[in-house]
Amino acid sequence: MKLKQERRHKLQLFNAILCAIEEDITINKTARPTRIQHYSRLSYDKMMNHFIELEQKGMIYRTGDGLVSITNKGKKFIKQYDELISLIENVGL
Amino acid sequence: MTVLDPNILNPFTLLDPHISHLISLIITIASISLSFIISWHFFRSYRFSGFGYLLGLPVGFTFIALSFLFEHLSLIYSNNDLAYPAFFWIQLALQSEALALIALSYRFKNNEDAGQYDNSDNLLVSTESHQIKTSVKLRDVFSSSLPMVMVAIPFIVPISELVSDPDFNYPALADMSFFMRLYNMAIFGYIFSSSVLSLIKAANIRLLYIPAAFAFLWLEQYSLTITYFDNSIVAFIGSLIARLAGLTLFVYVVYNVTSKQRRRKIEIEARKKT
Repeated sequence: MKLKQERRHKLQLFNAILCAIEEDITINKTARPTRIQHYSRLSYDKMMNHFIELEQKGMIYRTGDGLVSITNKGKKFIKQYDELISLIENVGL
Repeated sequence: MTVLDPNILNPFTLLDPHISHLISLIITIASISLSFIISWHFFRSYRFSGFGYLLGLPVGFTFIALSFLFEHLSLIYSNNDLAYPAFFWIQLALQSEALALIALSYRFKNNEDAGQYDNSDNLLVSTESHQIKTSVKLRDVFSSSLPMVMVAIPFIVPISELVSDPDFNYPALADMSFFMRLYNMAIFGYIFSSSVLSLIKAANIRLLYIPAAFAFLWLEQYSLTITYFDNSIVAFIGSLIARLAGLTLFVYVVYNVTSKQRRRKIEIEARKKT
């Protein structure tokens, strides 16, 4: 019996990207796509596609010099995602 | 001297009539509040994630809260020949349905986990593999029909009782409450084992609060079955304590989840320093 390669749910991917942005900003004051790619373990193309989606949802914004920043909505998403995962883990689901 | 009715429907009637309404009101308000807190947190999680299997928990706990309301209403109308058994009947049906819905959440989650495994090895054709396939199919039929059976029982049993005797036969209703409580205990047993297994798989043994909460709720049902047999006030009070302990433990876990949010920030700050 083989295990399928673990696929990440879209919520997981969004969370990984947003956390990577938040972490990069906390550590380096700015968030660069290359560092976000490193933290979130995504291919560059996929990450850029998710950037577009996250920008449309108002969770991130990109400045002219290529830097990425997280909005309050993005921070709220991380909080809610953490809460969801903790709840699922605690309840044994 | 009053003679004790051998077919008690609402066990609150066992208490002193002067205080039974007040005690029931306090216990009901506490139980409904706790159930709605749990329900609200799970509903928020469902709304955020859209994971279908999570929906059984908020709906289930809302039904449980409503069942406590109908329990109190049946006590208020304990002198009404129609309302008393009717509210009691609704309470029984709602409570069992609620547990079935909560169990469904665990059932569907288990199905999703099982779906992560690849069955490509089954492509090897042999008589042995054919037998395995047949047993797998039978297991699939059983596991797919089980949720339907779980949800149907709490509807079919009370409705068949109502159809067979529209005037509410008290002894039959009391007997039905006994069987429904046995059903509730079986469902709690399933939920308990599912949650424990899931936590063990995730190596999360220290988070045994939720199985403990379900164990308390199982104990509530068990105490109520004892109350059914001997009208024991002690067993009934034990059931109330077990119910409140179970729900409180659940709420504690739910609140504990929100306090965990701070950990990530601490982790990032620690990484920043290194």
